[in-house]
Amino acid sequence: MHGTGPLPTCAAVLLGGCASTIQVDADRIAFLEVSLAQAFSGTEAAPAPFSTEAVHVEVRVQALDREARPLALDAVLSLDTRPGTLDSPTTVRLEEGAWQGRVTLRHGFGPTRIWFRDDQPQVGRDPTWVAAVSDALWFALPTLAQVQATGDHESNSLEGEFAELRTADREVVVTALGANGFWVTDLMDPPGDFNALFVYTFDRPEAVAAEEGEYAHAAGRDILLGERLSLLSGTDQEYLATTQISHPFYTFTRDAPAALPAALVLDSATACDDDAMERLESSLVRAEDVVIPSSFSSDDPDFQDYGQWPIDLDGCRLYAESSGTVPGWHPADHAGERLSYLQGLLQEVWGKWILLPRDPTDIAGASSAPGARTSPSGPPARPVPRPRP
Amino acid sequence: MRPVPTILIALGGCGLVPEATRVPPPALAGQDVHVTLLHISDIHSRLFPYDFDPSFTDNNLGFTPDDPDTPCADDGDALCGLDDDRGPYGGIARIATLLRRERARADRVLVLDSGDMFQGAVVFNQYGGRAEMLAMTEAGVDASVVGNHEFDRGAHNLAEQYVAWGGFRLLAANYVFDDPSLPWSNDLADLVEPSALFEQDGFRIGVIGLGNLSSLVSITDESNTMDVVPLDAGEVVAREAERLRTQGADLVVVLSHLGLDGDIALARDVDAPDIILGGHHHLAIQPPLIVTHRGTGKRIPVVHSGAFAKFVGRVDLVVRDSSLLSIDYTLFPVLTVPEDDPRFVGDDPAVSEVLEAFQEGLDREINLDQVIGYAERPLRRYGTSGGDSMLGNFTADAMRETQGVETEIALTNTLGIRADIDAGDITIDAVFNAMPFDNTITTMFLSGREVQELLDYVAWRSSERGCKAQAQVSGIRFTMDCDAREALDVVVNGSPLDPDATYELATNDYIAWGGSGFEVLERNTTKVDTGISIRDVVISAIQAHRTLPQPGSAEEEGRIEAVY
Repeated sequence: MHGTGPLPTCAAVLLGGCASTIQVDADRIAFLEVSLAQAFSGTEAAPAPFSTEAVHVEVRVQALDREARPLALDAVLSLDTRPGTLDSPTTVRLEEGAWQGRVTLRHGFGPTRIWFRDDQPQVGRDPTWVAAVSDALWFALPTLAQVQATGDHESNSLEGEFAELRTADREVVVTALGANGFWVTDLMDPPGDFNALFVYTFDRPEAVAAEEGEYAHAAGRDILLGERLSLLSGTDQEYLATTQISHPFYTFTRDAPAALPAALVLDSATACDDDAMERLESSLVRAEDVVIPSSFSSDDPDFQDYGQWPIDLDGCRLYAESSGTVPGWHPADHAGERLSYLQGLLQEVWGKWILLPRDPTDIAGASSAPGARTSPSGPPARPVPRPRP
Repeated sequence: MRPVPTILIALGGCGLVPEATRVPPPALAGQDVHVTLLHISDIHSRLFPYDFDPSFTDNNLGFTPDDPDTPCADDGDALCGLDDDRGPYGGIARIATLLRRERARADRVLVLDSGDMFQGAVVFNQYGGRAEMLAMTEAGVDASVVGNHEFDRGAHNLAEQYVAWGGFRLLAANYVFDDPSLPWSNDLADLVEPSALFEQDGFRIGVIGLGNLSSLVSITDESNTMDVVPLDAGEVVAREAERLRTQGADLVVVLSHLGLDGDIALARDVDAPDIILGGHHHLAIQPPLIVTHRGTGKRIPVVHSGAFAKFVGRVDLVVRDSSLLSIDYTLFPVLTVPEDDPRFVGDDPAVSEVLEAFQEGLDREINLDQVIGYAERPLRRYGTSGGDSMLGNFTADAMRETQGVETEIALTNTLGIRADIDAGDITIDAVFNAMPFDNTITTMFLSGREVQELLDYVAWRSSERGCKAQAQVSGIRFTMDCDAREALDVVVNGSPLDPDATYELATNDYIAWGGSGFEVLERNTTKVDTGISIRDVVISAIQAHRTLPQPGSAEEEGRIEAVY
């Protein structure tokens, strides 16, 4: 074995510092050169579709020395993709310094690049930790529905990734505001079909407006209902099984606010089906003719800890959380009562579906409670659409 | 493969090998260059491992629940077996091991710290920053930005500690220290650089420091606690980046303590940086955000790697012809796991040796392990519904009721309480971690109108922070309406607030002098600093109660009802 091992730890400092040394082998990989062996279909102007299906790319990689001359050594490299998910292969073997083959990935969006790294322990040589990337493979940004629809109500397609969502040629609008975030819906998709999610801002959400192609920060201006997003990105998370964009970066168009979508009326078949409810997550939903169980009291642990209280819809158990938005109306005082309606933003906590009323008008009879506030009424409710086949 | 000769390359001007053996740097033009930045931030004096109760977010970031098959170590870990825990967590000795390991797994690498190494544990209260400087130096930090808490013992203390013990570059391009016309001019001017340029085998990395701006009491006020004159961050970054590029920088890194919102605004408005490594808000964002510049469309990653010595962030970049092409990021949690667990990280011997003397000193001077009470469940600093909290109520009550204070009402800022107190034995150390600031109780008289203004400000400030109460109270109940941004239905000791009455308030000296924007307190002319330490008062109250919570003590009571 003649490998010299990793670089020493001291950085050379130009401004008054000292130098250290690097040991170099003549056949040590100094660079990797990655190229696309076949042209990729997507470009920045006309990106390939965001795909949950596998996409194949023919790639070539060549090892180079310090003078950028081809090296003729054997070595194992690892692969990955950023962003997106790499299906295969996860490692390749350079023979005579080169490898060419098919790489399969999915969930790429925006400029997506395939990484090659010399980081694999091998007999006869140490990794050099050199890395290189392919030219950008341009994919379209995902719509809200493409992120939400996975077949698993506790995950989403970009969970744990930095996500940029497709807004520019869509109609993604703000449908509700909370103390620490806001809800958005893509009006170009069918209602109640994975087309809504929550944007978690931590602080009170404020608007950043787009003007004449440039973004102008409007600090302190509240977001308006119906405002249209021109850009939305952030960390894609499943927070307690509800999809949210955290640490978001967003801007709005200068267009007039859009009309808000109608609340979707839950039926019991939907309310008892996690997969059906997942389609509605973060949409405004309405449950009619619901009962607060007579057994409920303010000593309930979920109420004590989280402010959640139960409602029954034709035998399906749902929950509501209203302490911050419906002051003066105490659910325990209404145990055993039937409410003609209750509506709110739909949130999941590990299979437990919770309606978040926006204000007292979302709970039948609550508007007359002491301290109640009112807000503009939305359009009339509509039934939950049947899922697409 | 045949053996080939080894050549030594000197990286800079004072090489350790003879001139004849040097080889020129590689030809970088057109090539992909792999650069690794190891990132830490907001160590906050948490040099020694400590226990805490991981949140859902912590779990998602790798602080996973106990393996039920793993027996509890005999390390005094009160949470082991009781809760989701792999503590004790963190510690600079294990971070140093992680840094050395990841350095060895990198091609070109720097270790960068986004500031606030001071304040947050008793070692700072006792030694004023010496331990932090020594440990960060020994851990191999290349550069650190000046955080706002570096000034907690004053600018001169920072200078003294850095001169004596610091072995890394200290950066801040947006602070001016040396304007002789200003009374707070000081010797940091000679120590803190706006930027630094590092070379790694022919590749040059420029690092620009940006200190915090939001924590200045007032940028124009002579009582400015940080003793600095701040400059516009965007302008200095554009200027420094240009200077660094002129000097050959292939990559420009902003090492920031602005906070996430400041970092995002910078990336949106100024396209000079290639990447921003930030701190101040104690966030671990995995993976990093990528902000698109509003004019050029340049995509600038914004990296935050957590706080309190809980994480090390590893940023891998590929740069070609001075353009950042792609970023990869790994966040390493610092856990206590068995040695055969792949996440195991042991203590770095050299850093451990540095810490040993401080640990002995603390053991000698302060009995940190002294048990002063028992918590039957965690004492939270934030309320479950955004209003009053267990620890907030307990602290405010202790302040108001202590002998020599005995006011009608008390109010203290929630952020003055920096950690929960975990279930189990309550030690002196736990109280220091929860209340690291050496604040004292200040009393003053306020009219009822001023009390209303004070609470309105609390509602306004809380509305900006997710409607989580930014103050904790005693003797007061109110509805904090974050929508209207005002305090409603204020009740003082059972009676509605009388705007014409006079009330005596106990508060902490930080907000009494205008900290966190409490102007109604700042302008008050009846202030009396009692000199009574809030931490001491809390310790005494815990000792008096022995077990917490109890009815009426350390419970959420609805003193502040959050409405939004």
